[in-house]
Amino acid sequence: MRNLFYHCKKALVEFKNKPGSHFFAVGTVALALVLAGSVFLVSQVLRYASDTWGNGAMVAIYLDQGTTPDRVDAIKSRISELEGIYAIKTITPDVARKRLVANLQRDASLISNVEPTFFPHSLEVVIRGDRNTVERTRRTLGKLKGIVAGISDIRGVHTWNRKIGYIIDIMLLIGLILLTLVLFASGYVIMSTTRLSIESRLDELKVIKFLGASPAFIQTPLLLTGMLQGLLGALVAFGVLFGLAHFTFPLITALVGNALVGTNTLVFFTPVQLLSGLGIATATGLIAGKLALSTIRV
Amino acid sequence: MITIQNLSKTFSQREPLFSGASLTIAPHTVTVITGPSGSGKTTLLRMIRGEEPYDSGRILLDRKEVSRLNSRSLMMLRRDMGMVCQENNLLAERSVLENIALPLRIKGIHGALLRTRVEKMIELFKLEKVAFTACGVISGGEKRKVSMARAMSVAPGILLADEPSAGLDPLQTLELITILFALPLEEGTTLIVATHNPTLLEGLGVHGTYRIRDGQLQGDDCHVELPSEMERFTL
Repeated sequence: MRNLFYHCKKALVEFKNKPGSHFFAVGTVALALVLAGSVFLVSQVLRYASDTWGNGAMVAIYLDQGTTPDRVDAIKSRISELEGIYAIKTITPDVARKRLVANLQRDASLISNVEPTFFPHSLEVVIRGDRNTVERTRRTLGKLKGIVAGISDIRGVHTWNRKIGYIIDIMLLIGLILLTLVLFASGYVIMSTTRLSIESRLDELKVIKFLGASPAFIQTPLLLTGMLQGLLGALVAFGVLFGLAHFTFPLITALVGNALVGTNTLVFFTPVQLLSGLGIATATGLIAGKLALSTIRV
Repeated sequence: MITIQNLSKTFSQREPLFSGASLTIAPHTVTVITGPSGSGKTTLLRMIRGEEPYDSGRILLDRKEVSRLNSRSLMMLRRDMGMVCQENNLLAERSVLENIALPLRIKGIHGALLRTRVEKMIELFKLEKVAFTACGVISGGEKRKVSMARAMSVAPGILLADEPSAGLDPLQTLELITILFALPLEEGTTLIVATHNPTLLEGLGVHGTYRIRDGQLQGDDCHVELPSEMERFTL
């Protein structure tokens, strides 16, 4: 453990002695993570908005002609058991006719001869919950046609929620691909700086080996330097992202309103996400350092 | 105990350095290896330390043959076998203190014990004034002192000194050699000194002198009786 403190000190001294190359590596890691993190944060904001807009998503269920009121109640009861169902309203043929007349306005005379019984009973189902709950319930409702007798058609009144869901999924995928690419790029930069560091200290490392140092004693400070580059890069990136979120979030809410954004608290990474990010960046530094060491024989 | 049996070593396209050379060195003694430049003194020390392979024969360190040691055993051997090289091999950017402490850290010694050993070496070699100075900027004589202090800091079982007087004036040589030669008595170290100028060592209690000649290690008649355990203790 004491050797580890000694090696940590040496890694910090290495930073102090050759700040240029090390801060270049830290800057690259930070820039890369800011890019990937921005995409992730935007998708988070969209997710919040989508979850909020998704509250009250409506599905219209059209029943067969001549469905009796008892059967309508039975179907309602069945649907109300599903997850996320907030309200179910029965639209009688008469109400349906009145709505259509109201919508047609001046052209209402076109349906003046249509019998009220022409319109079937229908149910307006309001679903509440987050995006996933809404989508799950919508899918379940879609499957009811053909399973529950008396249902002739099911239509999602609002499809935007699903569309935003796709956008979020695509953004997350882009974020993930971007993260993978930037981690590779950062790893390459860390590997190059570690190689430079080894090459400039080759004589020193040979002396340390001459004194009987183990490979671990020789490699640990170099690996710690790589890990430190990753860790510092991630810390800088999270700092920059927090600053960006802190300044842009109030602008977004001022522009579209809290209700539309879906939250009035700052959208940022959770502690687990932050720790994971730091861990991934540090591990990238470690792996890059190890790869650099494997290419040079001390 | 260091035993060299029928040692042969030839560098490609050159005359053999050693051809069937043999030597036995008792523990806690001072042995001097002499010979002109290029006779193989440094090579012999490097072979003892496992840094240079030999063609045939055996080098036994406490009955373990050096050429058969695996990399881990060699690493452990080097930790316990100090070496003062002609070129000093110091870390130029690190301070005198750090250089002396390095073998101790490699050996896993920390804290008070490390401080005590380093302070002792600094005091012994009178390096107080340059203790915090980087080794790259100190004088040649001071570098030699640091090199010796570093080799001695771990109280090695065996200490190999290659031309310890190189680059030093006679007074500095006497000062350093006196410290070096006190080691077998003070810390039970087996000291092997390689030098082309054995006259510098006259009257300093050498237990055995060997000259490299015609690929052999030829002992002279200056063998001195080793001090007994009791004498070593009282000294």
